[in-house]
Amino acid sequence: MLDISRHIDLYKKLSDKLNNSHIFVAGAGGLGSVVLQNLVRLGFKNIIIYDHKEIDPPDLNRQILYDSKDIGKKKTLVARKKLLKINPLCNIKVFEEKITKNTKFNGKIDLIFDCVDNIETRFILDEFAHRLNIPLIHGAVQEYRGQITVIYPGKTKSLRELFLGYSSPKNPQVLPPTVFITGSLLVSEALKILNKDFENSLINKILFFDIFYNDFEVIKLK
Amino acid sequence: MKVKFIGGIRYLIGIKELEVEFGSLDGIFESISKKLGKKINYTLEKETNKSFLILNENGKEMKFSVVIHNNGENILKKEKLENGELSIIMPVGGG
Repeated sequence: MLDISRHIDLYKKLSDKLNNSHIFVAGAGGLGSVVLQNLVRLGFKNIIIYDHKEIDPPDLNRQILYDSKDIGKKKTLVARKKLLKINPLCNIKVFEEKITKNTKFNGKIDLIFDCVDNIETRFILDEFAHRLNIPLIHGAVQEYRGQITVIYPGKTKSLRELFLGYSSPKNPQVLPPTVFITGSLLVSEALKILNKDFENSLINKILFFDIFYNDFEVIKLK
Repeated sequence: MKVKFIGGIRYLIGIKELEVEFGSLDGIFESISKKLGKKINYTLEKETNKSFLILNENGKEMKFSVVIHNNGENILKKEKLENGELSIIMPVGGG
């Protein structure tokens, strides 16, 4: 059993959310690895993972759930196995599927993490979040830079409205610390949202950062 | 109007924000180019609805995907530009 006594006092109101929330993590790559580790170590019990890829050698620079023995294996299966070693009482459902417009997401979901690597899939998650009326925690990374925002139906613009026109690059260079910072910030935002601390969250704001220049800036959205 | 550069674009052109006369989008980019001393153009690829910034520097052309917000709204969702603030954002896309 995972002992969370070293952090539970920081989010006492969240005790029941840890047990009862169903967290959907789209993508178990760089951001997904960091998000999933954080979620399980925080004590979240119900996690749903979507990823259709196998582990490739270039993934190991930043995808911290995996190691050299996992090359060629399905990310979802390895992720579940390793996460259950941290907390065997977690209920982790995995889906080895590519997310498309036709994907049917069934079951209870309270919050979505956008850990995918292209804008088209991000827009599908955005539509899904709006259909279910649940928050979407968006993060993306490239080189030394990261961005994080919270999409909350009824309170914020959609991800499509914010990023319409953007074309995401294929296989961009990514510095591992950029991924670790962004993934951890995504989870920190999710805690605020589940705690209904909207004022301090990235609702109607986007955090852009560049660790090469130590430049962190929060842009307010109208 | 105030023009803000957000994300990696600010390091490529070396400035965070500047002021230009309000006008058409082409006119605004002409003014930005004059102020920066380098040619910057905006283009929207109609087939894909993807928007790009074209930066010409020392005879070299560089193309970056950007989104532009005018007073907090994506210009692709607006009928016409308004005076105020134009944010030229270079998002990131990896996961």
